[in-house]
Amino acid sequence: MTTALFYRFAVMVLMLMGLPAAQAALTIEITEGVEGALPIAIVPFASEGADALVGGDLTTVVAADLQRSGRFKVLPQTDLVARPTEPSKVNFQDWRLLGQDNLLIGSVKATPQGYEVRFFLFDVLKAQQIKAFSLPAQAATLRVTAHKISDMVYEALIGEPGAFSTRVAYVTKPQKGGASVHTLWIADADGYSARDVLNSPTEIMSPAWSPDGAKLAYARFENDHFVLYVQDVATGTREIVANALGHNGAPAWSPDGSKLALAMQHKRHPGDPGNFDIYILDLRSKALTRFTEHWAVETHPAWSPDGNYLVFTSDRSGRPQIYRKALTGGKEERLTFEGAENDRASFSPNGKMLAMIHANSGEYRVAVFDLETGQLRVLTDSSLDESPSFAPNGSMIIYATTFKNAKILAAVSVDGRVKQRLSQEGRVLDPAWSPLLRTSQ
Amino acid sequence: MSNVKENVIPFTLSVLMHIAIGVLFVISLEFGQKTLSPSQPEVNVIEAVTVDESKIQYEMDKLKKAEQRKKDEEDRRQRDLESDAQRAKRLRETEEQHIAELKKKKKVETELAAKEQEHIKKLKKDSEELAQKNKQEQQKVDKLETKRKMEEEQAADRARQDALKKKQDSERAAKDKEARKVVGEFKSQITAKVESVWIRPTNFAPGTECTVSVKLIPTGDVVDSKLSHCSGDEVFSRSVEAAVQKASPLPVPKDDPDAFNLMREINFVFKPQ
Amino acid sequence: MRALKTIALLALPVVLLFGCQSTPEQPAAGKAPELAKPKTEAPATAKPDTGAGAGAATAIDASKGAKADAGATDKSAAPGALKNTIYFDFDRFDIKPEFREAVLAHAAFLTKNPNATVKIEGHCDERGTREYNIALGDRRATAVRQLLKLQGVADKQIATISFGEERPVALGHDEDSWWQNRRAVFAYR
Repeated sequence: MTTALFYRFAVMVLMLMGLPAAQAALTIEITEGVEGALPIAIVPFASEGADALVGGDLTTVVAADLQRSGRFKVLPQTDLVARPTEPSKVNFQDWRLLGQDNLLIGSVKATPQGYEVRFFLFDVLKAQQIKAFSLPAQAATLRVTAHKISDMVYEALIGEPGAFSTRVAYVTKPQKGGASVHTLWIADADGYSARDVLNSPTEIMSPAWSPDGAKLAYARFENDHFVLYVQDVATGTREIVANALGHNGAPAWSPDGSKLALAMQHKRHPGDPGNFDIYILDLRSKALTRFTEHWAVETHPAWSPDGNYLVFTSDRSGRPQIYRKALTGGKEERLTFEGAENDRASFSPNGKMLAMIHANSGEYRVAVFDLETGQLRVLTDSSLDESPSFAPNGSMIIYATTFKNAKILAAVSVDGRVKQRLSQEGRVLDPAWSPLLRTSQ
Repeated sequence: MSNVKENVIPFTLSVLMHIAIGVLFVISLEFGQKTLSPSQPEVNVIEAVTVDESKIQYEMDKLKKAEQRKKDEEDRRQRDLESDAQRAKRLRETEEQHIAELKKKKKVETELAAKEQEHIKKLKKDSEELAQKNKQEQQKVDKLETKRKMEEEQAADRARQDALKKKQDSERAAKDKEARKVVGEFKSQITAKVESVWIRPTNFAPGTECTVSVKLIPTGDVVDSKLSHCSGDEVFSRSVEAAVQKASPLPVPKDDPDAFNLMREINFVFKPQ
Repeated sequence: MRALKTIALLALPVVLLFGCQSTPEQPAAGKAPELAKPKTEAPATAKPDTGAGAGAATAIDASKGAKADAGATDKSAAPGALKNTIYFDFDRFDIKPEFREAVLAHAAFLTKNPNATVKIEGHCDERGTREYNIALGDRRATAVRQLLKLQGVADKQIATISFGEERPVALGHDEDSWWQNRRAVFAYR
């Protein structure tokens, strides 16, 4: 009788105190992540038609695009465990086991007009389709189609427009044994499909795209000095816009395309030593305004995307450094204090960073400078880098560098993780990345 | 009986059948008996024998002697029987006497026994009364004892329960503390793991915050993940959901159900700086 | 002594006519005989043009350059034959003491020949941006101009042109080539 009572009591007690707080959820705050590349698997598209290679060719370009951007880690083709070409054949578990976050599959079908390309983009972890799209293509412009697909995949997964359908302008100099001609080229952002827009017996320098991507401004050597040209990309027609007695160069378009900032050496007469300063040229009225007036050399102006500032290079402190001044006038503020030299600054599309060449201990390297924090980060480990130019979506920087005695095109992702050589040989200089192009040119 | 009422016909049939079978059985027995006593097959063996006169006379004498002998035996038997009868009669009388004496004895004994019974009864009664008295006394004592014991036990119980409660309380508190400490350790492990696999988007508005609620099973696997309160865009929300999936299985305490119970449900609040 | 000087001065134009150059557009072709000499004479022992310790080194350089010149231009028997190229330190445009004499020699010639004109080319090594190097080359040429003017040469006799890093004579990517490209060149028509 007593024991029974005891047990009952005990149970009651246990019940009273034995209830844990198991029903309340634990809260964990996550503040950091990793700057990583999204793992994506790309299965060669099926080729339905006479050309059995067309699907694979297409995906090869897409894979190279995405990998080059630095934002994606594309699974090597040899690691593909399955090759589905339509959604019903996809087994998400396969791709999950491979550690892939996303999967791209598709097919290319031959049509009387050319091709019909369909692709499907999946979120592997949620086992869901993110995007499905179908677009026409031509054999001659297959790369254009591939770049369009890369843009769509990039935008769907990163949330920013892709820059794969953009162009790059660059200059080549004569090579030993080759034709003694300087050429201005326009190529795809991946370096392919280059075409020449100007051939010149004399030097071409500093090409710059107008904001609408329709024109190129550049400096060309003639009559013992450089003069500034603006050329229409589509038609090739060109005109001289600046022809001061001294030097005319380093053109930079204003965001609305109406003005050019340039480095000009005004000489009153041939014997005048003249000074290198920044000027602003109104392309419509041809009015020329002096922006800097300093005995030092000022060159390489760059316009901020909001149109309010110019940054430029000045060696007033002894060696070239980057300065900033508002369009409305005022103080010329020095921005860079690290390293021996900083030169050729250009803005990122969001206006928050500058790409520049940073010289330290004899090495000239591409670096990005954060305008808010003043922090400088070197992105490359080569030694003779030149002319960094941001991709219009701000994800990568293209530049020229010396590699095995050649001057080649290279690209680096803005976080510095992915570096790629885009050309192998020759003497490639002054790459300039076009803005996002709405129409194909 | 209700069964019979309900099933009158079957019952009747059954009885009739039983009777019939019984009758048949008996009849068969009789038949059996009749047939079982088969007549002995008469074997008539006829043997021819020659007759001898002297032999006949010898035989006849033998027969007469045999008869005489028989008669003598009979008489003798009669005389034996008579003496037997007389002996028997004498025996009987002795026995009757004996019996009468025994009866007398028995009577005395019975009386004695009865007397003794009475005595015993009385003694028994006395002892019973005494026992009763003792019992009552004992009961009283027992009662008191029981009462005392009960009180003692109750006190002991209470004390024990108090001690147990205290012990359980402190154990529970210690367990809780331990569990929470363990949870705390695992919390930082989980945070580190999720942070190591969250590929953070680069273009989110400052102050973006998304919560992913998950349920865990003891292996640490995430079995139910739900996005709630997300102020980020689709790329951001996809990235946080992916992070939780990729971090699974989460590091959880094994063999510690108390601690694990505190972490069965987790709300991950993604709040990038 | 005086006679010798006169002969030397008279011989000058002859020498210069022979060593003459082309338009700036084809610098390599025209300048080859002149320019080739310093290049071939400049061996692996060429001293790097660093700021420190340049004094002794450049003296040897100067003598080398002079020797080379003397050896090739047999047109002139004069000891102080004109040097057409002077060299600069990295990122500097000041005329170094050892090249002062060479510039003065040109100044002397020009003052003596008021109708003669000279084009001073400013060049740089490949380091730094193309645009900035145009300015640096221009400064080098201008520095020479200033010195010539100080010696009495008329402004209109001097033209300056900057090629920046565009017309190197040595194509290597190290100091062995770089010092040769950091130069100002006297180009007479």
